[in-house]
Amino acid sequence: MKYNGFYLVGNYPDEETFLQAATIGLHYFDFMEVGLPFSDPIADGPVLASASHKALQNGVTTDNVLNNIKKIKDYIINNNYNKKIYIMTYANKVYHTTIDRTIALFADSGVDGIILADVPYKESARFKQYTDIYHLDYIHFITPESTHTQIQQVCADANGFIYAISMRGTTGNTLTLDNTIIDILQLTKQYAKIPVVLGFGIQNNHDVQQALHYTDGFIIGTALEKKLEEGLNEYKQFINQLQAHSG
Amino acid sequence: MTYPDSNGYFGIFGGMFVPETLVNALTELEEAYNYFLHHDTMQNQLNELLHHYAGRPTPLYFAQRLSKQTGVQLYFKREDLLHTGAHKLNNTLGQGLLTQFMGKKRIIAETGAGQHGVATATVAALLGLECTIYMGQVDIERQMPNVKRMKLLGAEVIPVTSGSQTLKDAINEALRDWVRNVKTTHYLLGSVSGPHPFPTIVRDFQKVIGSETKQQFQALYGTLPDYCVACVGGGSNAAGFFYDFIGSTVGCIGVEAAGKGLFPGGHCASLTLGTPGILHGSLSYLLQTSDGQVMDVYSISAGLDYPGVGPEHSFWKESNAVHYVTCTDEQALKACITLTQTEGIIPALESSHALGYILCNSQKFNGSNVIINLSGRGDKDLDTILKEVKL
Ligand SMILES: Cc1ncc(COP(=O)(O)O)c(C=O)c1O
Repeated sequence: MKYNGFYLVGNYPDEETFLQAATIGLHYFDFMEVGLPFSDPIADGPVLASASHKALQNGVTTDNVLNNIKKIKDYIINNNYNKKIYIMTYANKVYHTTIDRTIALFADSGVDGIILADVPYKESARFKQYTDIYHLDYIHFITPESTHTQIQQVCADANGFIYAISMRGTTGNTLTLDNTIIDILQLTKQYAKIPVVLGFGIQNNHDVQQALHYTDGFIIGTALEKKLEEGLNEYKQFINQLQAHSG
Repeated sequence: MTYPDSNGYFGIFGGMFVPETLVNALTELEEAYNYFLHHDTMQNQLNELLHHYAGRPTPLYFAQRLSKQTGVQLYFKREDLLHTGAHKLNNTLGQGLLTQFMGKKRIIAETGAGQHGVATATVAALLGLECTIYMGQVDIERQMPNVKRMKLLGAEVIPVTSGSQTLKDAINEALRDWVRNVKTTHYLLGSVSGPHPFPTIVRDFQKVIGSETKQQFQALYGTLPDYCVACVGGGSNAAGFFYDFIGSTVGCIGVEAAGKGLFPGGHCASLTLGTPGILHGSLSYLLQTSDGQVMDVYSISAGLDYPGVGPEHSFWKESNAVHYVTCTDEQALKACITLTQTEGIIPALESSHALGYILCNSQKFNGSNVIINLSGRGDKDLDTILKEVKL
């Protein structure tokens, strides 16, 4: 099952552009990840970290990102799309007013699941407890460091999709699929009952081909955000040629 | 019950909030550390270095003139006399040996005041390890002597220009480096903050401060002191100083930086004015906005200029094991000059906060035996201090 996703920093570079970029992306991709900006994004490289900081300087908050997610959700429903929206953020953004309250707000805006960049499997229970209550997906990670046992565990517990991180590194690095990660991807595919999706480092058609060779899909973030910073036309063209090459 | 629990929690505080990629490295570190703790040869090696290289035990000094002036019986635990000029070396020697034991050849560290950076670079030179230090641009400018020392010791110093360009941002960059290089590199974290097992490892390596103090004071008087006072940034000198006194009759007082005053952005008193939050790997008190963003903070002292604090301090706060108070820039500077001119000791601006609190509240402590942890010496701060006083 093909399952490709795109990542955009919420309400960046401005609300209007973000909404347009979202609808353009949703023509092609199966799911969207909305980055809810956090002041200290340790899993992000310079491009996405700086986009998050600028968004915060522009006054982006959880509330105004969720408002636009509601609009995107309406757009999905009105077009009869079968597409999902995930929020990607950091633990404190969910924890600070209580996890229950935040997840309830997320669910209310129509989000399908959450991805927390600084929450590993062993700390996930306190969050998953509430995503379960509100019927949201909780996304787990596989990394080049994952052991056989950890892969089995994650595959047994996962819902939504499995986020395979291609490398030891932050977002925005160059993709190199070495033997370790290829073995890990193959093992994950073997145990997974839901899509395995490769993220971190996907920048061009070649990377996409490589990802799709081993997994069910890819997530593209930094490369897309860079295009969006150039302009909506550049962004659209970039997605069109990705589509032409990956079907 | 001893803390942390097997998951790295001190009550509700602590944990391991890091990207999944780092989890196995942290588990490996915990295993290596447990082995190290019970390994006689390695413990002997550390004790030898602490004694012959670093200069332990450090003196416990009774400040006669200042005591007379204030009416408080004032003692100083002289961590400023430790090699490299601050308590930080206790931890870097321990973690340096751990790095060797794990077979890693490269260490990275964050630094605020530059004392942890210098102590890390020193251990790298001593043990033949490659060393990279991340330091905020703002801190580079206000702690220049330490930047030069690090470079002279052979470390690469990488300026961090994102965010507030201080300790918090240096930690972000160090964590990003660690995710990339986790196979070859040990992150030599400098305070009792960060993900499990760092808060425990750093506290344990710093415990020597308090255990020596206890012995030294008992040898003199056969009793315990009334109060132990230390400044709290991430909280390592305070945790190491307090640990052996927790649960005893001794009043432990942690002093946070009140900067220009207790308004948003003016201070970094995380325990005094923060709320529980998650930053840099652990759940602990945090200065944050109503939208869950980490707040901009400020202190004249680079080593205290941090919005978070180690999780065990949050636990001690909630269980009333330690009392946390604050001291402003102005009070700290005044204390720094007082100690310099009354006792001939130039303290670091960080440590000056601990003394500043006592000097401003000397009535309350009249006649009591108070030991202040003099966590570091003030040479690095001369430029900042001289801006404030006319000679
Ligand atoms: C002399 C000195 N004291 C205290 C601190 C604050 O750190 P901690 O709270 O971890 O002891 C520093 C940090 O750089 C320091 O250099």
